[in-house]
Amino acid sequence: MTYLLQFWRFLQATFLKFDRVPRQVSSTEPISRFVFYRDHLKIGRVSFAAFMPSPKTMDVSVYRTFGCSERKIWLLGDLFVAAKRKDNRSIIARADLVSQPVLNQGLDIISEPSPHPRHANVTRWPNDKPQQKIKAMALANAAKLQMHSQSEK
Amino acid sequence: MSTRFAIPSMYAPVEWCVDGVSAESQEIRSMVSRIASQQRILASFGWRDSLLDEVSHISQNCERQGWDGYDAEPISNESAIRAAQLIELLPNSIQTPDVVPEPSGDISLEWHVADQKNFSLGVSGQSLVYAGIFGGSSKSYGEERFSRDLPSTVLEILTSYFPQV
Repeated sequence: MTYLLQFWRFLQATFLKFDRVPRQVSSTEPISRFVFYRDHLKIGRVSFAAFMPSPKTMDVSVYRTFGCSERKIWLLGDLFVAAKRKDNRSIIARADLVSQPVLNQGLDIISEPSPHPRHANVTRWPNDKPQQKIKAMALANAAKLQMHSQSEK
Repeated sequence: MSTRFAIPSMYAPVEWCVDGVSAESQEIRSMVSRIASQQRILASFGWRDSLLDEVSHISQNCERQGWDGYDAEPISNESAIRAAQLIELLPNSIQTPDVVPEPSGDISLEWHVADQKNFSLGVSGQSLVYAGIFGGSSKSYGEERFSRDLPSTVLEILTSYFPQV
């Protein structure tokens, strides 16, 4: 049964990769940030901390979701974000927003088509931590929280 | 294996559920509980107790690299202790903040009110880092040396925008 499930996930991941996405990220297209950690979710909203840049790469990993069904968005998260983790932690929610509020903060969204053509990074974060927080707060305020219900997993 | 133990308190016992038993975890628990006990001698502020519990909980849950699903740094002992010290400095007449771990390995306190007013206060190394947006284009942010008193700018923001309801 496990082998069948693994094979099914492999097939899904393979077919999902056949996705044509322009390299240029439009200001009107939706993006999603997948959230794994419970304390980054507050009542009906996401904390700014979910949008703070990675200390290693100084960017925020997101997925470009234009033209995607709800099911496909969660599959992207489950197969290309959660499945890459070694600790088997699952996605608990995602924060959806459009690109414009990100660009308004002086940040950029750069297509980074690995591990999936829809993957992108929010870049050009300032080094100054208070400024990073201000920008992350603006993104969190612009985002709409979507919980990952069990039925969609 | 999970262990439960109670922190001695003048008022009510606070139980922490402990999954990690590393020396570091125990050190954090001991330091946070020492601060908690000191506070309880001064007065009983229920929300401070729950915040300190939350700091302890976060330091245990975020002790591994990548705890946020990405590249987050582990929450260090230092961060947990600084966060506990920061909680001690908060004025009484404000709303209870949320305790939030950050990918940088720091712990912040976060306030939010419905009309998109947000404020974050945390300690990073030796610095007190604050940042807030207060509707429209109004915002305030900065960094100051962390000391025994909160800067007047921070106190003013907390009491003006996030008073206890």
